[in-house]
Amino acid sequence: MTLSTQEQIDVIVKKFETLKFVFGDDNFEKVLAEAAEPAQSAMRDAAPKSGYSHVMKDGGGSSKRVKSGNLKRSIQVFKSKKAKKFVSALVGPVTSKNSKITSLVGGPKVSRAKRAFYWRFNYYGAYNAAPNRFIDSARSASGNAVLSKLKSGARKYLDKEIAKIF
Amino acid sequence: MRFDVAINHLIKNNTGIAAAITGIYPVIVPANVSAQVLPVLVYNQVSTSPVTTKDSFNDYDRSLIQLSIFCKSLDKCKTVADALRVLLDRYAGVLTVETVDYKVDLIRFQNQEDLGFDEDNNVFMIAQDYLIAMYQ
Repeated sequence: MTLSTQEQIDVIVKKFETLKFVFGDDNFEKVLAEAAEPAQSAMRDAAPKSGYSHVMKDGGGSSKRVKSGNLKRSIQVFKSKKAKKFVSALVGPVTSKNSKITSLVGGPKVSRAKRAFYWRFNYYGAYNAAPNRFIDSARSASGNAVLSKLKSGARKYLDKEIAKIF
Repeated sequence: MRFDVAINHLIKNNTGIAAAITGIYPVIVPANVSAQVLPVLVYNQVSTSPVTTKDSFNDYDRSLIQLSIFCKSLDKCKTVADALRVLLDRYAGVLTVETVDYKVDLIRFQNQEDLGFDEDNNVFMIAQDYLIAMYQ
């Protein structure tokens, strides 16, 4: 039976979990951060762009004007601050300046400067706007690239660790 | 395959839901329709994927349909959302619409998201996803 790309990714991540004692947490995060890059660029490509600047709420009753393409720029690679036991790389829009997220080791630095709370109105649609499932299309477009980056990252860091032993 | 016809027919022919909503429309809420008193339903066909075997193709598809529920009252939104789930989840059967048979193999409830209050249009929104499998 042939596994889907998502199932193959799940299998590799499970293998990583069993090999964590060889990798160490930092290398584990580096592999995840590198593998998340194709997903991030695919999602940025798929995210809609209005073509004009708009005003959005900025918390505390204030608002600010943002340039066109703000949703694309808000899409980043991060991990949850609460994820201590099981680290995972998340890709998606940063939604708030209070988001409890942090960068992965070896990954791009997370910035909350570009935020797009309104991603869900693009994704699920609104009263007078049809949904645009840009996250789903990015996931299917980047699945194979993520899978191959996970595999190559595993080989790269495992080789380094094994060389250290001998 | 006309997933939209099947879902539209199922919802419109359920007397409980039909009485509780203003109407059901494709893609967006039309400009002349209000969701201030009763909820308005909107359906969107998000994606369609074929299910093929060596000797079977173009006769069985799966489609992801999003149902959006808009209303000024969150309580009414949730009541309709629950009724839709009861009606649609695990539904299977043949629907006849204007002498054409639509063979629904299975409808599965996938996800529900409460999207909060839309201040511009003064409505709450709930989105539900259903995966529908149909024969040609």
